[in-house]
Amino acid sequence: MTNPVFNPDDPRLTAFVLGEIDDTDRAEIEQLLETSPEAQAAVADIEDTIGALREGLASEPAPELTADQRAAVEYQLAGRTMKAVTEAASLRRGGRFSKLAGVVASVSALGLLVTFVLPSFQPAREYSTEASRSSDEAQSHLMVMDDVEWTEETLSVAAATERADSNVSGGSLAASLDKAVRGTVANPGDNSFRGGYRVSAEIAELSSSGSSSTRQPEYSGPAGNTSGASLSAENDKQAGDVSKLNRAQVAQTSPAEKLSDFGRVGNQPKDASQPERTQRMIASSGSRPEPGGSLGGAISDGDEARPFRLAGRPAAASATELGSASKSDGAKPFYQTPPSSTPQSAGESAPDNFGLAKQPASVSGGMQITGPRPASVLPVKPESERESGLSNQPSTELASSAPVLPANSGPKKRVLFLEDEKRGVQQADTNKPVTESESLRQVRDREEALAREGKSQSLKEQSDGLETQLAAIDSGARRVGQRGLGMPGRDLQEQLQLYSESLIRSRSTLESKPEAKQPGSGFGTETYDTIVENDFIVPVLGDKEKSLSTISIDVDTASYANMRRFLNRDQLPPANSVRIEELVNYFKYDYPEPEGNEPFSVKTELASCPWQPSHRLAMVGLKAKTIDKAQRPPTNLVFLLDVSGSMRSSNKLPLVQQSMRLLVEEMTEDDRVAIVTYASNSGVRLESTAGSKKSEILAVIDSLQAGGSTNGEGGIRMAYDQANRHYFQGGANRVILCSDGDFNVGVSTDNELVELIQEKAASGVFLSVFGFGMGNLKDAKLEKLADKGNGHYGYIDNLNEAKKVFQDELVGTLYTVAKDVKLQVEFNPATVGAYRLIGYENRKLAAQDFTDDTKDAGEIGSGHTVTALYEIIPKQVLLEQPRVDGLKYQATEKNPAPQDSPADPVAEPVDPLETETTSEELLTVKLRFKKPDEDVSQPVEREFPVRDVEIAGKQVSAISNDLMFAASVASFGMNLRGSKYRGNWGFAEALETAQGAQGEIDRDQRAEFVQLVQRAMRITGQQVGPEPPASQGPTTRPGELDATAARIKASVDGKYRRLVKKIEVRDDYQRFGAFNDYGHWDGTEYAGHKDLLPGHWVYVYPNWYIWAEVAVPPEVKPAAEPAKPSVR
Amino acid sequence: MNNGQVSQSEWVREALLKYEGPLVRYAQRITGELELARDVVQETFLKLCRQERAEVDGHLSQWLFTVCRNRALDVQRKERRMTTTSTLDDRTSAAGAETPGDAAEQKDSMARVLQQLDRLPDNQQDVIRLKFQNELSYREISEITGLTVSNVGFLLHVGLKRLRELMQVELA
Repeated sequence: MTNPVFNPDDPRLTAFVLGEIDDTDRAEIEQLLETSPEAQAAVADIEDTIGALREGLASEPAPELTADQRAAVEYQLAGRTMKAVTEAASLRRGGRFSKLAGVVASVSALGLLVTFVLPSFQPAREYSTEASRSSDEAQSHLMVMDDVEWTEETLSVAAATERADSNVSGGSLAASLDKAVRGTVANPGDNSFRGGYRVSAEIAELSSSGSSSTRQPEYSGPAGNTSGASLSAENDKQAGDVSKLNRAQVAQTSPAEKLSDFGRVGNQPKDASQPERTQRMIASSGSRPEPGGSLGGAISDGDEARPFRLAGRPAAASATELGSASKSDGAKPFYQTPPSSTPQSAGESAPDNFGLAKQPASVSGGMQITGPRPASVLPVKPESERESGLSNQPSTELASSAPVLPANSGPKKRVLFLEDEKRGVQQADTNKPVTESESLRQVRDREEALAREGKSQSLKEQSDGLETQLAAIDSGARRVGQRGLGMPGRDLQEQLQLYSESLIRSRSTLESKPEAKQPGSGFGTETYDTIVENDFIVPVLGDKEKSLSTISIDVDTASYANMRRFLNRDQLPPANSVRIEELVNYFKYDYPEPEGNEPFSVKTELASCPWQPSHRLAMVGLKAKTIDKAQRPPTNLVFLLDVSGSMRSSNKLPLVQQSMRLLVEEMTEDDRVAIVTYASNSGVRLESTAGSKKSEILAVIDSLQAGGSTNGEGGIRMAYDQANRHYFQGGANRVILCSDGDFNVGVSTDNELVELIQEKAASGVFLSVFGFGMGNLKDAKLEKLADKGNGHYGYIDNLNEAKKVFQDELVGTLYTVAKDVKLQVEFNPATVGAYRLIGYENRKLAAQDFTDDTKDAGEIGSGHTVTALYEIIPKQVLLEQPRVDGLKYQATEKNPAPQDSPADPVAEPVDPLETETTSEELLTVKLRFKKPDEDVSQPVEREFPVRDVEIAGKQVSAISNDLMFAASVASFGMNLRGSKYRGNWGFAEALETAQGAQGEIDRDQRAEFVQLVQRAMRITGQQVGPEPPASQGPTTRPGELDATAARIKASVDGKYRRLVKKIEVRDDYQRFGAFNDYGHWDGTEYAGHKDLLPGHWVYVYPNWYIWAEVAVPPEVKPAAEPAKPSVR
Repeated sequence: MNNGQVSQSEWVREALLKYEGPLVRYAQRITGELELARDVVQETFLKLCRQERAEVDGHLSQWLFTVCRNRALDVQRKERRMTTTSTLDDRTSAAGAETPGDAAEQKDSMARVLQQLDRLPDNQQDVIRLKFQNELSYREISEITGLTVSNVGFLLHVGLKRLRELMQVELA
């Protein structure tokens, strides 16, 4: 190799920095760097630019999809599932995507038809119900509930069956016609007009394409197309019809008219200032942001639209009716069928229901329904209903074979339930209908209650309802499928399904708990593993896995600090960055000190569950023995520091250095400290040195500089070498890795790193991992490393946190009192209906792992407390399905006596009815662990039974502060995650409880938590009002800034363009916190700084940033302290 | 129950959770409008739903960005003709969707770099965003954009260099 010459335009320079370079070129560049200062400068420049770019780009917002857009994806998923079920189905593609999507009715020869007619786009029509009436008459009657208010929509689910297996040969066909016309008017502000416009545009397109079956919208979901070729043809023809009609209508309907239709949707006045509204209306047609099923709505556009009831005709007739009815009435409907029920048939009025007995068909209401299920209920409109339907309401009928909750529109809806259980598909199953109709009734009752409440519901809530309802369909169907035909009653598992659905449902009826708006889980280049929350589990006698909950304890706290960072930036953390157990475990709790030589104490406590009062909340708290600082064993520390270019920003390497200084202060001559750095090249910066040589150590710390790319692995090897070389038998041997986790060079895959770390952990050197910085944080990777290295994962977001970890809790950070600590809770199936572990999703172990000493588990450091929370549904509650918070559940035949549960979780003692029979043990806690220096364990097990009777009559005061606080933190976490298990609590309740649970212990941290909750509330706009947070512009808090004055141009027109002054005022930290607070300032002098222009200010420790705002007359607020800018 | 189907759904949902934000952000740069970007991303995921997992596994992000990008370019070409009015507003509001606190918190260099990034040619911006906002490799970017790997490297290098110069000019 000749001496390379520096060429600034050589792309390999960038490739080198990025690690995108092969070995030959790398060698060449490295050689070049050694010889050429220019090359060094160029590489440094590139690194700088990349650093700034990464941060800058990470700060750009990454908006999510709208709820209904996600719902569309869910449709598709459901469709896919369906497709698999109906083997004969074929997917047609083509067409285009647009704001309107719809799935049009499909037909399956067997079973029922489910059609949702989306009222949103359609004012009611008389003949909208006419046709159905006539067919109805030939049919069974419906129970009609609560139609009074539901004038806007009728949801028509004319039952559904789905061929469970694709044995659709012969005469039975499953053909489907799919059209996607999904309404989306998602853009805030930009209003219905556009939506309307697009609606018509789409119609036009559909119309022109509709005549050919080959031009289905590509996302239109499954088109079941079985052996029935003729049916297919039929479909195509209908498509044609529909399209023609549509076209006709389009011709007639101007965008403006459309607009008015939009305006009328759901009777919700269109309101430009509430763009959410429009979106909601459309979303309410069946969109659902979360998995679990969505209803699709058929969009009937224009005056002539009408719902279709594919009843009264066997098989293909339904599809035909779609077409012919349209024609004859001049209707121009868009049908939309939720994919969840795509394959449909007109089994309704076809009592002969082909082969149903042989082949259970099913309603598929959710994503997971794939098994054979019989459908059961056939919807028919009752006379009375029909009348009201005629009276110019758009009608949508909902009926289904499964417990169907009238989905989309909250209170404004009408559900029709079929009473006649002998009809149609139900013939196949005479027992099931009982269950189904019970469910239906419950559902209906809840709806009723809802309607009475008359509260306006948020989009989210509505969609929640939807989800639940579909889930109900799903579960109903599944239940039937699983249980087979003719099996009376329901077991606990089924009961749980129904019950949890009702819970979720009940939550959505509560007054606005503004939804935590989650940024996408990829924030900048930060990555988080997806967390799927634990579900309720029904303990079963003889089933270990179900009766036992086994976890590895976790003392990590990183998620909390990371959450704090987001909140302090006025952003909600991405859902997947919130690990609830880490939030809960961030705090210390007042658990008793272990006695004698025990490494732990265990405390258990049971209370009624605050967010779901009929439930229990069980807390299991461990406290590790506290080792006095003075008595701590000698320590052998190796710092492994990431000094790559990405660590350059002030909250990374500089904060690492500060943290290290704190820690070094604590070192004594018995201790040893070494420093290894890694970047492009790893190196030992400080050989292991006695802790007493502080100046020597500090000098090295001070000399650290960031630059180069990262190669984590080489550094880790060196660090472990250092640690092993000075291994203290009986002491603490630990590598402390400080990084933003961006190992981005070479072949350092996670797995290889993990293997290495595991191997080293076995040698007695533990690893602690501390994450620093933002925008580039690889959270999952760091956690995994710490976990495998018998270590601890913390996140250091500021100096205070560094003090907590490296000074105040140093002993806990460094000294492990027990390792492989496993916790197993055994639930008593006789008393526990179901339980749910809150958090610990990635810490769960299989039941048999509890006694398997080869299975790694968590470590616990000196003085650490670990808390696990379980939400328990007492068996009694599950069996009785009592009312939940103001919602009325109708008694089921089996459980005729619903009972109230206390409305207020804390103010009232637990209902004696719930406790009097439950004096048996609820659960037993078992522990297993190893001493830190034992390789071969003498595992110690401890058992701690908990009896439910303990909480009988327990008053608030008797519930410990700890439990209250832990509950508050867990609830906050669930709300941040948007968890469906969050129950009745929102941020406000968590806040209140946390405020009431401030105690002696952990005072500062708990107070900070309160502030964070308040901040989250502010971010979600909860103090401003019920509306979700404004998505743009500076937030104005009423009473603080006048709306006009607060228009801080700086954040709109370019961040620093008008920044007139930045002054450093450290003292104000106490008053305004580490991060921003803001207001308007009208003085000219502050803290010794003269001639400051009046303007808006922001305080970001330690600086004031002041923007001149001359154009807008400053609103002068009386300053509480004249010397300081007015805060409010 | 068919586990394959269930896991397919889960898989898509996870992908959605993980990528919707980055994809919308990316698409928005191309379409210039948030709502169009959302449409594009929705469509991308709809397509994913129909995709056999086996065909995509292992290069999911690349697949998503490829589909999203192509779609966004289509839309952009189409919409250009239609001249939407909301573009400017959407864009500025999206970019300015921070509180004053955020603005202040950001480093000067960060603010500058974004300003200057806008001045680069589209293709350079594109690879820069794919690389530094979405952390894709040269090879992945190459697959997504249809450029060769060395072309990607070149564009990145030139883009970074130019950016650096622009920032320095602005400083001066």
